[in-house]
Amino acid sequence: MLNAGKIRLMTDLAIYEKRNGSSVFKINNFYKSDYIIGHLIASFARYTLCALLLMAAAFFFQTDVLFARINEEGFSGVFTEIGILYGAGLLAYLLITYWVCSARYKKAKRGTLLYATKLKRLSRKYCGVPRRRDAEQ
Amino acid sequence: MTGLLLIRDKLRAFYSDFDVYIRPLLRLVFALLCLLSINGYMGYFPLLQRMPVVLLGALFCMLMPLGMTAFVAAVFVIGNMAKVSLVSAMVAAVWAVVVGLLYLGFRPKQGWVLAVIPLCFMWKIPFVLPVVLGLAAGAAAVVPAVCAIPFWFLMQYVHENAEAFQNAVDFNVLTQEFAALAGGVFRNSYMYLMILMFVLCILCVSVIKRLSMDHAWTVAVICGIALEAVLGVGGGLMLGGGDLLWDLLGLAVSLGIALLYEYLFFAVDYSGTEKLQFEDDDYYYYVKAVPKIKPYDEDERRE
Repeated sequence: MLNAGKIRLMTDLAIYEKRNGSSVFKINNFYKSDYIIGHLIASFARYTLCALLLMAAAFFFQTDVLFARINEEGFSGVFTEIGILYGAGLLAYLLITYWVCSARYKKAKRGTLLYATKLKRLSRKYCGVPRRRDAEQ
Repeated sequence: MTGLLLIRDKLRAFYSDFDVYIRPLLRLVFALLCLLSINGYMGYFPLLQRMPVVLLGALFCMLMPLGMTAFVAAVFVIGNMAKVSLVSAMVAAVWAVVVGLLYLGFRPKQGWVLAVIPLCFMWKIPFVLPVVLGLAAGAAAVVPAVCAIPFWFLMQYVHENAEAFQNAVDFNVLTQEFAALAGGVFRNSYMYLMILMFVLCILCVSVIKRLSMDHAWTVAVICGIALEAVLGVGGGLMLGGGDLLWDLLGLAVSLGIALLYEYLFFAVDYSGTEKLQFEDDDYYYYVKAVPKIKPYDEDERRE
């Protein structure tokens, strides 16, 4: 005979797997530190690539302005300013990355716990083992 | 009004039965709308105007995740710009790559917002978006909004000054055109006003709708519309950037869509609110439960 409780639980689990499976289970393959460091490195590469692209564009379109400033302030003045801008932007972007990745990891962990609890409940239903609370009663 | 809820439930059931076909179809329609609107607005490149090319782009978007539509739309915009002004095409390409790397690397699921914002500006109804984005996408929609608005103003500048560009591959001409472009786009105070309006409105709506007070969604919509009216319409009139008739029409449409969205996705009966308080070993719980409005009687449905 069909067991409505089991079917509901299995459907719940299947829906959770379909919606969140790819993101949640992938995250759970990593320790938190490994997951965040991986993303920080990727963010560093992405940000640096963007900064290089923007600098190349600025150099191409504003060559005369750039050379005029180098004449006025010298190489060190201009490059220090570029360095400070790059560093400040990088720091902000890495902080945002850290914050987003930490929140995602936490959410994925919570999701996995919920998933595991439902799996346990389903397994108990198949094995016929009562829940601890029911057994105590 | 319960008729609307019945239609909603039927649509939900239909969607859950045929979502495998409906999703790609919606992506195809959205991509076609984007690409045809871009070609209608800045159809400078004959190759991109041809229907097979548009269909090919739309079919590609249909097979890819929704965020990819923004990428294909950007390719169409850059292609069209390149026919008029190499400088603006280069600036647009740099902007698209930077946004793609910095933003889409994080949150590709909201890439569609990048495509939908220029689309609404093109249709002269930008005021429809902030409130609906605040309700549907939440505070995270601020980032794609801030990225997409300058891109739209770049498109608008190129469209309005298409005849002034020489499109010569000469270094001096390129730098002069870049200076004019930078002045025209990045010193446009109306653009900053629009960015401010989108940011404040999305944040305001997404924060208020999460409050536990009664009628939070309605209050959020009203606050969002008020902000749009003051900042968008009022500020636009002061800066001479908006079109009063279209702006008011956009506000009215925005209000209608937002209220419809609220009715369809947050139909609750505050008169049946129940407040509960209980505790377990670790916490005290203060729970407020608001019943959803159902278009049918549950008991009758079971029978």
